[in-house]
Amino acid sequence: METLQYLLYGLEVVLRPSTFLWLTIGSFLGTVIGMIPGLGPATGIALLLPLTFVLKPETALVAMAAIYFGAMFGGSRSAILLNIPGDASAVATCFDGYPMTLKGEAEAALAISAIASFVGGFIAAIAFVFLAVPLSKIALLFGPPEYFALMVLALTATASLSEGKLLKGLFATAIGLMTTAVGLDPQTSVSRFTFGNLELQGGIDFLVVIMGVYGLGEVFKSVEKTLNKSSAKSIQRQFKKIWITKEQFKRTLIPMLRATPIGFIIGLLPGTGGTIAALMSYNVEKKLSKEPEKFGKGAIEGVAAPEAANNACSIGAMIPTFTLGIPGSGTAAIMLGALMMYGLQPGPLLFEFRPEVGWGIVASLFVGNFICAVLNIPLANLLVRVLMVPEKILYPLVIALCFIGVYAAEMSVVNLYLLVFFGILGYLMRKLDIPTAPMILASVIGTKLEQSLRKSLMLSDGDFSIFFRSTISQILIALTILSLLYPMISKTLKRRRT
Amino acid sequence: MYKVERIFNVLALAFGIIYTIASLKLPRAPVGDPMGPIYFPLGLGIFMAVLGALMLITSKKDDSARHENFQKKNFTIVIIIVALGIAYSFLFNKLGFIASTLLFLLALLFLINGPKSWLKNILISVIFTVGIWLLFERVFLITLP
Repeated sequence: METLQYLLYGLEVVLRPSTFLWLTIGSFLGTVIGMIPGLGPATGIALLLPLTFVLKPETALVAMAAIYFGAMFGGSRSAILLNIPGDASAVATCFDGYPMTLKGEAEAALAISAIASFVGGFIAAIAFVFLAVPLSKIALLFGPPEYFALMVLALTATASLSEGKLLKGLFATAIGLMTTAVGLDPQTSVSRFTFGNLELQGGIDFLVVIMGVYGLGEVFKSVEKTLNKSSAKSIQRQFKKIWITKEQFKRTLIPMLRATPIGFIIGLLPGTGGTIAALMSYNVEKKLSKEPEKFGKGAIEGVAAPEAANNACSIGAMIPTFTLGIPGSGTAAIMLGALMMYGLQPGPLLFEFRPEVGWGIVASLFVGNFICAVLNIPLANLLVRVLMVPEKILYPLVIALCFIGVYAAEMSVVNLYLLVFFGILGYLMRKLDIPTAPMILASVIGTKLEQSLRKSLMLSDGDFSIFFRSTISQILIALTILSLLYPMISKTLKRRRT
Repeated sequence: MYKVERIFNVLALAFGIIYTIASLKLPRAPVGDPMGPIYFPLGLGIFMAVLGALMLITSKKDDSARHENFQKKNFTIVIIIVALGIAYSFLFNKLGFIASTLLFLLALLFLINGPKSWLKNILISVIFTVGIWLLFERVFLITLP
């Protein structure tokens, strides 16, 4: 009962004019950013980060959550109409969405992808309501050594699950952690790696790291692609009524309901984004279908399942972020960063003492999903026009926004140079196939990781055995080792099967 | 690709070793455990060095498939954008927000969008710069230089 009361309170917060306005803006921006190839939710939220200095925490976080799931809606538009995933998690939508367009069924494809996104998001939001408080109470059982082990697990799992490149993932993690070791040590005021620069004593703001790696770095890579492309693809502009038939709905209902829990659970795991969720649910549907040969040739189930899964995943990823402080995806890590910029701590206290933030976010998932559905079905005609704005104009504007945002956050020119540095780093990482999500996660939780390490060592007077004392930390360490061995295990299993 | 990968692995190993040495040279803490501020970076440095070595040992020769990733033509545009970014950072406080941002955007648009649509480029730069300036000064009440 208490849960429902809190949820109603959250709804009241979300429906306040200022919050509702930003929720709508976020949904719209998210959809648009999701539609544009090369820009994903992480970049969108990164661009909005500087706004956190002028908005109230609940307003800013609601807007960011809206961008996250709005992008899941929007990513499918360009996948269906152009065969280009607007966002990586819409890759699976291309498989059947574009063939549907070629068959002249673009309307049904656009409609079902939005409906499936809504269904997946809505069910996942209900699950969030009931899981948020119990999960956040687990956090109370954790002391510094357990927290240290949990964070190490989150980092290794992200590195090992994210893209199947364990060593490179760990490399990204190490780089991310190193950015947090710059500046004055908060406990002893010893200056570390500042090279005598006064402005570096405050440390490297993770805002700069995120804007550089996800903003600039992403755009560098995309600019290069745009210039290599010869001409733009033509796009369907005239649509009949965007809706589906009853028969189509019947065919897709079960796949949507199957894909939602798959996406949700994958979202809960650290480091596994919407792409894996969408691909996995697509494969499940293909295996279970009576007519698997239709998949890839415009099967409507093949659009519904991945779209439901990636939305459920984006919401699932927010749960460990706000209850335990362990983000379920790179995008969620940026949201955690925003929360920490307000000096707020994730966990049970967020839901108890700052219910307008904790429950506001939860309630925004329901309202925001509804807004996105409205934006994406009746207004799809208008939105698709965004795809006609040339990327060549868009990218310069995004580059400029990164610089202005970083400056506005701290009013420091040193940050601008750092932004360029991290932009180059992000670009090179993409070139070398090094996953960026582990680095972002590491740069957000690095400071906390070191503090929990130091606190544990102070508790034990420098004895490292404190990390193995409680059952919780023993389990977490076992899981960490398992996550490191996972790539090898899965390889041997695959070899045996063939 | 294999060559680039090799160089990257060696750099990671070298960086790890240098970082470890630099960590050991950090000043000791005046209060509490003198090694307190050093454990974390020291661990990171060793971790990085071990990773570099592991990557070096395990990298395979058949990684040459993605060679198109490293073409000269691709790098030029990124290098120009980076140079513009550094110039912008340098001029930001000297010319003020409006002048420097206007120049930066114009340069970027002419570079990426091409000089053919010069009128569009100029219009977009002016509207965007003034729009952002008004947004910060009037709505967010943040003063830009």
